[in-house]
Amino acid sequence: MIEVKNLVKQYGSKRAVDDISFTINKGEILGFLGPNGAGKSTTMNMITGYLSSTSGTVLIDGHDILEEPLEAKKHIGYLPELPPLYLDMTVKEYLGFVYELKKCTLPREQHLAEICRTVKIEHVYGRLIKNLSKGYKQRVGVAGALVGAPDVLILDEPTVGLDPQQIIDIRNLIKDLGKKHTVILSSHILPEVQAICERVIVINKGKLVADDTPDNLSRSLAGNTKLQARIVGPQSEVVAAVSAMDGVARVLPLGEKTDGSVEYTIEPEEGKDVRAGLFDLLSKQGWQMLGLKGSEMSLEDIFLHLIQDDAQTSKEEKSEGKKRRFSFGRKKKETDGGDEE
Amino acid sequence: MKAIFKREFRAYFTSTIGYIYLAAFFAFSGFLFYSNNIAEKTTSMYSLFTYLFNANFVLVPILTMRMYSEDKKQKTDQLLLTSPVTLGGLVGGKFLSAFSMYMCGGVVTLLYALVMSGYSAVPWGTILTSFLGFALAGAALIAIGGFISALTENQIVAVIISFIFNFFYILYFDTLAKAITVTPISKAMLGLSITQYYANFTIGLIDLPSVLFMLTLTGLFIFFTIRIIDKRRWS
Repeated sequence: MIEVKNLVKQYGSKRAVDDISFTINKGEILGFLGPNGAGKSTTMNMITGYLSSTSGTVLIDGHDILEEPLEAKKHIGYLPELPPLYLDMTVKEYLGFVYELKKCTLPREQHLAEICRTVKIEHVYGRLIKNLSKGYKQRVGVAGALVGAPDVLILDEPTVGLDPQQIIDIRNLIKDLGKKHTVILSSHILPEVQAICERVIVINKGKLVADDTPDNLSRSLAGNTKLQARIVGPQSEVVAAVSAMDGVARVLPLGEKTDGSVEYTIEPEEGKDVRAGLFDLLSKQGWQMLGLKGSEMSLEDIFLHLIQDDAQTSKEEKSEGKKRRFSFGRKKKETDGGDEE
Repeated sequence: MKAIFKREFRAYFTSTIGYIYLAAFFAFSGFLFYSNNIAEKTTSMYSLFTYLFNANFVLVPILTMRMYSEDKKQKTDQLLLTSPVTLGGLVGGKFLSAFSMYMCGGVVTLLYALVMSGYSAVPWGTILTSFLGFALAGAALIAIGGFISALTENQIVAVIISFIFNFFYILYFDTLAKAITVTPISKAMLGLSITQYYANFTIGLIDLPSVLFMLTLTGLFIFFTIRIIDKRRWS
């Protein structure tokens, strides 16, 4: 449905979006993650045609956004970070305007009424947008994106400013819409993305850092996640026995708890799951396990892991670059010495 | 384009800009009608149309200052540029809405002529020709004002640049052209002077160069506006 190929956006010497490629199939709900300034909004703006890319292509249902803008834009419903609302119009006038702008052919009154019902803005239908609260303005923005029942919905932080009930409503709405539409959802609220999205793309400093389902990402990154166990038993013996276990790299006692147990951090070796083995060992020894936690990375952990990883790699690259320069200087001196001789 | 035209035209009346423009226009034209026709007891609207056009230097920027700068500031241009509307449709819709407002005011001149015809024979030919000139010249000024508005996000800057441009182009261009002693430059400037071509209409003359000049100027600045909006997307 959406094909993004080698998308680049260059502002002078800065590459805001650096060679991003991905494909979204019909009916997928994709989460767009990244720290502030990563290039998410710029990418979304290029997909919707608000900005033109420096190089690369965007195809919406086979139509190039730059070559066939009218055809491509007909398929898109876009909710930008700041909803593009005309403050001097009423909700009714605004939605009517968007309806005409998108050259919608659906029965007007019915379609707009249905959208209002979905987004729950019926009772502010006649009000001036200027007089609405932020939450309602956001809802009108969502409604505007839904006009024309577009195939693709691109939502940039759609639940910002909404009350908790509305956040749940909009999330359920997006999940419902995902059944029939293709959705790109950009959000900083990671639990939200985890709850709604089947697939996640992480962007950092303009580059694509990850593109996978949250589960796959968690699995590939959680290889050496630590376990925290609460065990009742003599500390030194427990540490010795568990350390000797197959697949365990390290055991660290954290301290005694009030219920007589000791909290331990158990570091398994890369890629090994030691939970079952641990249970067997402890039951054989008669040491009770009162608690065991932490194996799956939440999306927040994945996100921070990826971003920090990226920062780490770029730091290493920078220091390597410095080392290289130094050794180059040394070599020069050697050859000079050789020549002299 | 129709959707944009409808929205922009309605916006002139939901904000106060439309009313201010019409009030100013009616005030100017009413005063000119009184001082040139009623006080002088003449049915010739030559002076009225000439001075009214000069007043455009301050009136047209009122119409055009918000055309594009407002959209850029409120980020509503994001809605317009991501919808299936061509840039031509967008610019055309806005231009037509401003032009319609301009004509809403301008029609009052025909009303004055109609009132006068109740008392005396009125030179309809000259008056209608002047009106045509007024419309065409207004279109050109609106296109220029729109272009200036597209250059900035700030409507105050847009209106000031428009004032300054109009001031020199409408009021002082001719004087400047005649003051320059280098003949080719002077001639070239007079060839580009909007007031020279407008003057033809006010004396009842519809000639091809004048009409073409107005239409070309309008088309040129609409083209420039489209290009500048397009350029923003690329940089």
